[in-house]
Amino acid sequence: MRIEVDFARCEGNGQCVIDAPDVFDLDEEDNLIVKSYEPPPEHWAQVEAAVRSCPKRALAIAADGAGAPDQVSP
Amino acid sequence: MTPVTAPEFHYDPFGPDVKADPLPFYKILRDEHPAYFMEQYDAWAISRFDDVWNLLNDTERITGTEGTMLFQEQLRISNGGIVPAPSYDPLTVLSYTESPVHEELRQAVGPPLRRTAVLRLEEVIRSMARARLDVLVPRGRFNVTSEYGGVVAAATMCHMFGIPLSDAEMVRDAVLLCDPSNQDVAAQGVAYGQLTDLVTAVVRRRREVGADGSYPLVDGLLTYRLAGRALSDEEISGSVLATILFGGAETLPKIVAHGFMELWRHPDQRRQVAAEPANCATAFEEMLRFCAPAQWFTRTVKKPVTIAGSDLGVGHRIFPLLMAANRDEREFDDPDTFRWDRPIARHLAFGQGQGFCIGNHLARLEGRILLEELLARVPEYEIDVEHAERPPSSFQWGWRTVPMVVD
Repeated sequence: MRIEVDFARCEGNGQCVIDAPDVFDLDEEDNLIVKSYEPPPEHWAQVEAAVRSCPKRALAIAADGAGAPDQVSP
Repeated sequence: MTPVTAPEFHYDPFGPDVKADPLPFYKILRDEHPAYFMEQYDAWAISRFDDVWNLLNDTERITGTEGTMLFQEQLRISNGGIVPAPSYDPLTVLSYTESPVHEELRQAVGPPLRRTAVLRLEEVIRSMARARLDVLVPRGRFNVTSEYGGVVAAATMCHMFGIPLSDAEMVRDAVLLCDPSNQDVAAQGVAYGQLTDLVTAVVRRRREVGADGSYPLVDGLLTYRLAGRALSDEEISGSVLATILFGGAETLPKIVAHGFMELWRHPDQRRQVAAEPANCATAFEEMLRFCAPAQWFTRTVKKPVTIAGSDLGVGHRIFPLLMAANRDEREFDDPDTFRWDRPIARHLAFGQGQGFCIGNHLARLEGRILLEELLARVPEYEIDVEHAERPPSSFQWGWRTVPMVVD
């Protein structure tokens, strides 16, 4: 799994930090920090939840990413 | 026996019965007509949570360029399947723009509206709420919508914009007059002019002083370049900042006032929320879901799309019915019951996707503080529900008058 972030869309709302705290964080100005763009399989479910719930639709899982669920697209 | 046939179901967002209470219509729409076509407007009403959520995310095929608050007269005129391109010179209203300009504008204005920046306003907003209660509580009776939430929300906007706080009540009243359903078009025009003049003056002062970044709400837009050109004062004010001013002043007071009414109807819930200030943030999420008064924002189909099994053609308009979605039993258990601590994974009170409310963190902060402060001051209040008013509206169906009685 490889995570893609559209930083033009991201507004640092932090929903992904709630859904996937092992993968996402925010800095002191609420800019997104991706701790790992290729997270280990035990974090994939978290990432999928974060992609679904991002209010700005700024997250995606790369189409070529191994194990990427087919329903997730930007 | 004469056979009884059910009258044919008919939904029109501008119909008097819908404007008085759309909820029974929403239930039938969700259950029987999840994509309901209104031939007179070339428009579809979409009512189920998942469908609304997905369509608001679909900026590839669905756009706001024709207008996101299309009214009846505009809708009666077909666009003939031709969806207008967004106007960028002069710049149109923020919500009518598309990528990448839409995102660029939001990034330019957005930093002071991010969560951490907003939380720095906590003490300012709290002191405003306390000052209002100092005036209102001794009176024994007041309108929670306009006199409590309305003043605090408008004052918060004034604080952020650098408008004198003494103008807060004028801002509140002018925002109400600008409601698109206001029949008094002349008063509407005067009020809109007052507000944009106030904001344009703020922008002009920042331009004169020099946009050094110390006033991010305005400075980011002064330094922004749209295809190489700077925006005029009027574009910054009318296209972007006015949207934020309206968004910040109009809706929140109605949600909070309606929320106090629900807590009054359920005294056990009121006591639970009042018992622990930390409960106010949770209760406010349910108030957003249950009470948010905006019924819809219009969209237009720019590439063919299938929603709820129906094929929508290019040029068709869409009404994503936000309140219908927030009351969808497919998403929420027992959705027409107010439950302050219900688990809410997601709701649509702030919209979703490109147009997701940029002021959501500020709204949540203000909502929480308004609840905390009033419940701390008067945990046992009464609502004079006989004199509460929720004027019929196709668009903002909210409680304008909620008389609270305290002694």
